[in-house]
Amino acid sequence: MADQDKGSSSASAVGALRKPKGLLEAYSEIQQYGFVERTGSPISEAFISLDTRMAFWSVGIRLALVSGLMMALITPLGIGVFKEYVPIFGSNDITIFDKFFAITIAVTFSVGYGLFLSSLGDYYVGGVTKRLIKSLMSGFAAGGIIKAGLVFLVFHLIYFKLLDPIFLATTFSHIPSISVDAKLNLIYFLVEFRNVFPLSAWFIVVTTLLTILLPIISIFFKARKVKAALERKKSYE
Amino acid sequence: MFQFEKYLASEEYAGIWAFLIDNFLTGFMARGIAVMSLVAAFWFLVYRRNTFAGVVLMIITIIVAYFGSALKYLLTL
Repeated sequence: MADQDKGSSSASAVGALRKPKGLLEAYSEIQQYGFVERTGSPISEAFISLDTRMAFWSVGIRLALVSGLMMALITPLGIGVFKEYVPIFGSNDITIFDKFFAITIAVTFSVGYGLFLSSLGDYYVGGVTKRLIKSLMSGFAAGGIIKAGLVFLVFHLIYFKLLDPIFLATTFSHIPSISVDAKLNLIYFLVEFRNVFPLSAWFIVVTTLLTILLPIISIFFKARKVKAALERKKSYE
Repeated sequence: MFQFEKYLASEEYAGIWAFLIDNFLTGFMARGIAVMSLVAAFWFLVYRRNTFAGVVLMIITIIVAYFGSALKYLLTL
């Protein structure tokens, strides 16, 4: 009871939990409560209402879907450059640097967010911050799984149906405004480019798993370090 | 009605695009700009935690990397 009173007084010192609209707001809330819980007393998990948890969860899911959309747009181009179907930097002479760079662009967005979320481990201290981080991360994981599943389906649909040579030939035959040479060039390019989609689908599945697992593992190890440091500090006092 | 061709001839307009493609969207210059903006995007996204700047720089990187080839192709159509 005394602990609960202490917890609620610490909570009131920071104010009521706001419902975050974006990642930065969610991060700031976690930072604030992490600081309070690390320097003061731990706040009970009961302090967080269900709608606040849902707000953190939806920030996580949105983050995964937005980064997934970016990745879905860039990855086929990156794999296309890697397999030398797509020119990059205005040239068809693709160097090893260009291949490496194209793949780096494809993964930067997800890796960036993954690293960003990894830093949450520093605040994984008390009841409230743990619950908020868990809500955010479970939303991020759910969004990542939905994204990977959708991208996998759409890319295979593109490969088997939309870029099928017969389907392409029939579709282009209905467009009278383009010359036959231009049509043939475009069809040849698309038929070669279609091979990029199955590989891109698997690439996105693997990188999504990594971007979900890496922050979780990093948060786990950082939290252990923070906990050990706090216990050392307590034993000195 | 604003007449674009009255102020800029189509050859001149195509010339501007050719200049931009040759100088900023191809070769060494494009690679340099793309690498710098990608590093800056990563720095803003991860270190400074500025999502907006990170996303804008990512878009610039993608434009510099792929638009040169796309525009070249469109100009040859």
